[in-house]
Amino acid sequence: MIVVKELWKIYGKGERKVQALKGISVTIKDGEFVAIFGPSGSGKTTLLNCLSGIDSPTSGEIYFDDLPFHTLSEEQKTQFRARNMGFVFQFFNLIPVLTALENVLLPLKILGINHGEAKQRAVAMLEKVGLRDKIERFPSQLSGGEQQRVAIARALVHNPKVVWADEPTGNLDSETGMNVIELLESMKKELGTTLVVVTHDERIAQRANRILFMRDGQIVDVREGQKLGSI
Amino acid sequence: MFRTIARIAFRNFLMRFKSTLVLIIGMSIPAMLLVGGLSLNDTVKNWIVKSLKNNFGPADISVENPRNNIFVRLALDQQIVDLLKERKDVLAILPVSESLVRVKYNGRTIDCLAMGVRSEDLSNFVGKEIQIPSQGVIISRDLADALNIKENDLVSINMTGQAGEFKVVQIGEEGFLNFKGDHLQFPGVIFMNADELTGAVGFPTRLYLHVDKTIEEHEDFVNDLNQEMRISAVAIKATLLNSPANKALGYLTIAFGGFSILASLILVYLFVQSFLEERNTMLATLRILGFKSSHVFALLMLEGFAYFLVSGLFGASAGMFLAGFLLERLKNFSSVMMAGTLWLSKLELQVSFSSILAGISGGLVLPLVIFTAKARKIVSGPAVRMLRFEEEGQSSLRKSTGYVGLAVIVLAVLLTLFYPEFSVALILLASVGAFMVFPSSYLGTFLATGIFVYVLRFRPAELTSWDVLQRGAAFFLASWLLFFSLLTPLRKLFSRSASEGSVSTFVALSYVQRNKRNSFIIALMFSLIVFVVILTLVVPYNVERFVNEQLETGIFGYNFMVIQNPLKLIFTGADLEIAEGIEKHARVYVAQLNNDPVAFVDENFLKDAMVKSIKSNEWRKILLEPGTIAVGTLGDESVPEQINGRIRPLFGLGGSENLTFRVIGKFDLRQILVPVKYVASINSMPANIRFVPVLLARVDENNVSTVKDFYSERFDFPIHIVEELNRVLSGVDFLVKTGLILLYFGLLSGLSGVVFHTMRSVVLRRKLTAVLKAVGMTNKSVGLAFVVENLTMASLGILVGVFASVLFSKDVMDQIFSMIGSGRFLFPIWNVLTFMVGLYVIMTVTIALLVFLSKANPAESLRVQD
Repeated sequence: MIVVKELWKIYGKGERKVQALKGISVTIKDGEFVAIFGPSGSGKTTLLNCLSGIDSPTSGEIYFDDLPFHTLSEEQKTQFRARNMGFVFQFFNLIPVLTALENVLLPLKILGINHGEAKQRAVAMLEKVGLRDKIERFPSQLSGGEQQRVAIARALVHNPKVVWADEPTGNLDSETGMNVIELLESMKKELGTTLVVVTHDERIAQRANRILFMRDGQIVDVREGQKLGSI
Repeated sequence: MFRTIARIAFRNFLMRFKSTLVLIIGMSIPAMLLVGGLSLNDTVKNWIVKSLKNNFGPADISVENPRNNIFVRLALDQQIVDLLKERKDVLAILPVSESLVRVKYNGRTIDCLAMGVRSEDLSNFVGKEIQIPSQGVIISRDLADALNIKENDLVSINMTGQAGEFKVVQIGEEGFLNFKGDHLQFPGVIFMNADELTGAVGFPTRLYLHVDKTIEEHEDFVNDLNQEMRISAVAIKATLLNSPANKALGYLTIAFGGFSILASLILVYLFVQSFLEERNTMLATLRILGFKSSHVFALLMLEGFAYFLVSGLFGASAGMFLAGFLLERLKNFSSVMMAGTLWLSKLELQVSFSSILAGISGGLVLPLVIFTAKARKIVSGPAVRMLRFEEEGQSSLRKSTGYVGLAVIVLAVLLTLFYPEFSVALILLASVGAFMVFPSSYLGTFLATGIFVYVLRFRPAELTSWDVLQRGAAFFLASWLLFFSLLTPLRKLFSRSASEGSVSTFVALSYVQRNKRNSFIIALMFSLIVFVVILTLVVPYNVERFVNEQLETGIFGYNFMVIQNPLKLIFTGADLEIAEGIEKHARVYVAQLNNDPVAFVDENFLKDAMVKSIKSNEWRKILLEPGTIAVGTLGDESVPEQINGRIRPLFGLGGSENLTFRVIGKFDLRQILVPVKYVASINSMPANIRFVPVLLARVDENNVSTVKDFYSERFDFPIHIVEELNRVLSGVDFLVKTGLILLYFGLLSGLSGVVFHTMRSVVLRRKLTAVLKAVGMTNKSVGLAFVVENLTMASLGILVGVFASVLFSKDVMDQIFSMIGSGRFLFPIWNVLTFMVGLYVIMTVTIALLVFLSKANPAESLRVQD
């Protein structure tokens, strides 16, 4: 379970001060699919970055199963991320000089898993995302949807407790985007992972268990997604 | 429109100027080296033109006896003097006798040239009344300054056979009275009465002519004189003015700098590539907004030109400093650079505007050509193609490369049929072709191994220059194939390892392998420079060792030689005395056999002499038999069974005799320092020839000065071999060290390339860096990946350079040994290691500082637009 208390993120100083997050408090349950929904500049990505530890909040508390994540050093946060988190980005962000397989192997290598086992798990994960026959291809040899599927495989290959996805369909056509979301959902179900997706796509948000509506750095509303008609 | 284009170009230049400052340092090197080299030539030329006025005066041409040789300078016939005086185109003539003397004043000593003259001749020649009284001398200004001598001072002059006190009656301010030798090689000249100069063989031994011709006409005039009168005339002013030796330092700068210039041009290519890639989106947008391709091209050229111009100006300024620095080095170096060159202490830096312009233009031309070619290629297509410009890490070989490779293979096979002597080059060509068709690491390793085996196993017994060049190219290219091919297995190895460090290395190697173009460019810069630097370290190391071995041997194992003054032979038949301090000695009598020097040696020589090229000692006994002779050869020349010929004295006086000798063996001429073609024992010496007696001796270093003085005071000519050789050796050493400094500029280009690539990678890969950190790589590991990547790129080049130069340097040394004598090749492992350690320390520290100081927040990096 992820518990967030009074999370503030302030950029700049003096007149240039920008309050990106204004005292956010929220709880995300294990295995939950949460969508963070809102217009551009509302603080969605900042919230995701702070929660995942790739950005530091100005103040506030974040707990992962009672572990005070906000008190960890950068080094400890990095180690925690390596074991417990997976990421999917809008622009896929695959390493261009590594093949699909090597990209998926990367989190396992960082965890120090031996090559044989790591390869087996990476191939299996790529098979699950439907890319068994393209594992030796470089990102530039794959389509956008395929690249995002590799990114999903990379995010899930080490069985993380939580996967953060920042606009995972933002760079894909609508059909491919839906395919990607369906894949994320099915993988979440299969692996029991918590899934937090930042999006401004209604159709994606509607598939979530819960939607956190954000505006001007604050959560202005929380609704259950699957029971939602139109936002 | 132009204003808009200029504004965009100028703002781009200013906004990105900081990030390319490091490039400007690297790209300014061609202009710097060109301006530096040309300025040195300006300096020397300007100095020589001044010297012609200040040190030569009317002396245009010198005339000597054509039968002069290294042992003796003979007098000229009066008939020749009279004939020259009769010529209308000879305006003035000065007969002199010359000898080397030692001047002592106030506890200081200088060896210089003494000229015995007649006062009326000197007055006529320089065009003013001069009277040199008995025991009086005129001392040239530069020499007087060097010893702080003033008019009316008494100086001690030690001539061959006589030391005396002379009064300085005049200081020769300028023109011929401030003469410093044909090549300005002496610190100055002492003019004295001809009858008071001892040590010269008769009067005159030389004539100086002032002629009614321009300097440009002197050479032709001298050629005519030499043909007409059978004399040895030299156009001294024209020779000095046109001698390539005087431009040696300037050309040396450009020649050694050539490799650095090449490295810098490779850097320019890297810059141009990155520059155009970075502006793709902007250029495409401008095209979409309605800019014509010519406008976009103009914009690119304007901005590119600004970079190159700043580099050129920076380089030209640095070039002047470089010239000043090299000039100081030269001046600090001993007075003589190499035999027959310049006395440079008064050289002042002279930089002409044309040199600066030539340097900047030279430094700009090629970069601009590269830039223009690339820019044209980019802007010629539709806007959308610009947006599809190759991204980092996605360079791949085009299909056409395969066809070119195939054509190269066919060409190589065809050429082999017609030019089998170029087999190495053609195998190399075919291998490159094969690799272009199948660019696989396995094939690369196989081809490289094949080339190494072929070149090392099938080595011709005697290498020609072509062989050496082909083999050099083979070692260089095969090393490239080998090390680039090893990248794949190395990367695989790290891909199997699961530690955090190995993940960094794996990512780094992946970038190196996939970024073939950039990796190749950076590695090429380093490989070229390291290859040349190591060869430059190897050659002098081995030559120095060789010369040191030679010094131990000296002339047949002796380190001191005394040549008897031939004048004495006319009056006395006495042999050279043995000075105190001589440990062992041998007497040798020199004459000519068929115009080559022949030495008749005594029993001491046959007992003690060291002749490395002859293993057995039998010759020492056999040569005692009358009528036997040993012949000096260069390398493996065959010698006849007997030699017939006429024996003559070296200096023409005395009889001659026809003799036949039985050849008992040969010795290597390259190992004895003095060109004596034949050696026989005194038992074979004909009776009626006037030989020049020579004493070979072994003298302890501490006694050299005393022994030298002993023979100088007795009119004879002592030569300390070690001193003479050391002078030449220090010249070689100076040239090599200067060359190395110039090559280090190439390393600066390489370093500049690595730094630029590191900076660019850190900026371009901000997002990927953030991703790596997000998935759990620590800051340290990500930084390590950058350091490893850039070090690997440079290391590939360094490995190629080292490997190829290690293999090739033996060929080069063998070629040099074949010219100077057989020696043993040794690789200067410690010198090379020191160089490598230095290089790696500088490189690692620079890259690491760059990487670890440029920490970016991953969250912000992830927001960066693609």
